[in-house]
Amino acid sequence: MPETSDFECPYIPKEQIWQKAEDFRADFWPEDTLPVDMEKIVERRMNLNIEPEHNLLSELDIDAYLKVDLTGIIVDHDCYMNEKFINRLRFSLAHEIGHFFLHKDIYSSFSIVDSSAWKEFMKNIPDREYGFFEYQANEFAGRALVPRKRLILEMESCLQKVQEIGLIELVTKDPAAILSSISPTLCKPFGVSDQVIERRVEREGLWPPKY
Amino acid sequence: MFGEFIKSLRIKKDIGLREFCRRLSIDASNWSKVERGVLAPPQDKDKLNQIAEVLNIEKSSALHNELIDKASIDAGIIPKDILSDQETLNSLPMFFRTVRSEKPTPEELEKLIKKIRGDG
Repeated sequence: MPETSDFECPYIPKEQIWQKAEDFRADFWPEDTLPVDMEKIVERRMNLNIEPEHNLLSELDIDAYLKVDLTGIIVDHDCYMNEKFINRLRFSLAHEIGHFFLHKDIYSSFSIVDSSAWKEFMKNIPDREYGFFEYQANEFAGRALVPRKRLILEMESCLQKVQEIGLIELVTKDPAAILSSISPTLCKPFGVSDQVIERRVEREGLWPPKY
Repeated sequence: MFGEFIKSLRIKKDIGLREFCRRLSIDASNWSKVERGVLAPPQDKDKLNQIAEVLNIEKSSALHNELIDKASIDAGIIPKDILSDQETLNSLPMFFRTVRSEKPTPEELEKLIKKIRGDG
């Protein structure tokens, strides 16, 4: 078994990650409705176990992790059961599925038996590799949950409202302020947080909008 | 056996783990272990009936009996209705020997034949 310090996460261009996310959505969420039901996909379409574990978040500061044998995703029990955290859970599951599709080979080379071992493993990964590893899974999750075409449509609708209240000039003068003001509305149909949606519009090169 | 059985029925009914556990007021962490065969299934009849109800399994149906039987077998218990039938209970050693590919005695074979005919 390789040492954690030998852990290598190769660079994957964002276009390639996005394509994998698009393929994933087409294969496992063909209904193409929003929000994407990750719980359904994980359990009932990919046939992976969801394994709630008590105190995962409070004691180990982990929301969720993919088991190295790729049979399931461990999730924090309280987050999982609490409706209030449904969007957070959706993103966490999509993030772990990102690891599933992008880092399968890396996972299979390490043997991690429980949550503490997982935490230790992540702690010892070199910073650069950890950065790539998490960024890639986040990028996958973002694209999987926020389809670009729908994002553009929702953005247009939000901008229309900005125009109606006479603030359209601010879009060019202070784009960050306008994005913050529309993101709580923009994120709703996708079932993600406003931080996720702000990141998506920036990563997709949609903000500030070009007229 | 029981865990996989329930999980497959639950998935067929399109009920997520969270929803299932919420409807039954059971701990999702423990239940996930039951479905994976890490923990033994519940033996409480009311709880098993509730599970059947959530899965829309009719009481006294073959599927309901299968659910009860699998819960017993997974816990290493002979189902209660079998235990209450003395005659069937007496035939169990013969059955076990047959399963182990040990030859039954002529007396046991005779009993078995009678049992199969329905006049034993």
